[in-house]
Amino acid sequence: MDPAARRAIQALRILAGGWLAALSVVPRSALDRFPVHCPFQQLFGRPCLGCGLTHSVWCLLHGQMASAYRWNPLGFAALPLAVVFVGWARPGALERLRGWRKWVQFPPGQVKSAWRWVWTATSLAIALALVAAALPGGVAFRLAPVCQSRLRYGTNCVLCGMTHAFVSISRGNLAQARRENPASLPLYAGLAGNELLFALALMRRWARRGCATPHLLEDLNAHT
Amino acid sequence: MLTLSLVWGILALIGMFVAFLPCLGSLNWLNIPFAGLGLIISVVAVATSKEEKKGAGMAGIVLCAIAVVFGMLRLLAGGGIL
Repeated sequence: MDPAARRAIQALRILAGGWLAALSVVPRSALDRFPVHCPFQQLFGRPCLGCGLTHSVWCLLHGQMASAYRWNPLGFAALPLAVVFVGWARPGALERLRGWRKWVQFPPGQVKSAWRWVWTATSLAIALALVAAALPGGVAFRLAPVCQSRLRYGTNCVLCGMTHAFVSISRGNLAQARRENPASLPLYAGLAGNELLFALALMRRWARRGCATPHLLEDLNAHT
Repeated sequence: MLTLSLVWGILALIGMFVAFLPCLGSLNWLNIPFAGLGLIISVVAVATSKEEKKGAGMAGIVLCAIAVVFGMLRLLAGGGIL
């Protein structure tokens, strides 16, 4: 295994072990005294999948099953996974599984090539969405789905108003976009930033080799 | 074909994460068949590939299986719509 990957796994193992050891000894009041603010919850106003996981694992370690389930049901998966990881991710664990080596090994360049294809596909999908938001005549409104939360329960979900906000951003009306959905500005900036990076990478590749797409195809063909 | 299965698996996993967002659960109606197709492609790739290192094919199988299983759970949790 690559020495850097080995070091990263060991660091993660120590962190996971420390996390479990700390949770098994600290009192519950210590957890409540230092709350961790989830960025997803701060942005969207709703808990993410990992919210409450620390409390859930603490409850499991102290035998409070029902309370653990209420905090986060994923704690029942996280605790055994963490224990297995701490116990078995010893240096060279993968190498010891000799018979399984070929199933977990990648030829050089294959993962990089796969990520390049994934980036191309996602960037094209994002570009289509951004172009649809920028097109005149309300093309984006016709393509966007009706919010089921608003339709069924009369309450807005975290994505409500996002299409309107994206159209407003495309027209340069940032204040209105912020009113329609506060999360739209950082999301649009992230998506546009990705498109910019992708365009720069394409241009760099073009400058180096003459054309980007044929090279991607070469990469794919080389590993099939 | 091994690279294709890895690409398919990563895309299926991205689709699964997007469908985890509130109100986007119905996206799993598209993503689960997509991941199922990826699972078939990955199994065929692993079975027919003459390459010694089959990590990409195995990764494709694992990622597509995760996308199918968690996508189904997400669909159940959202009543097939939310």
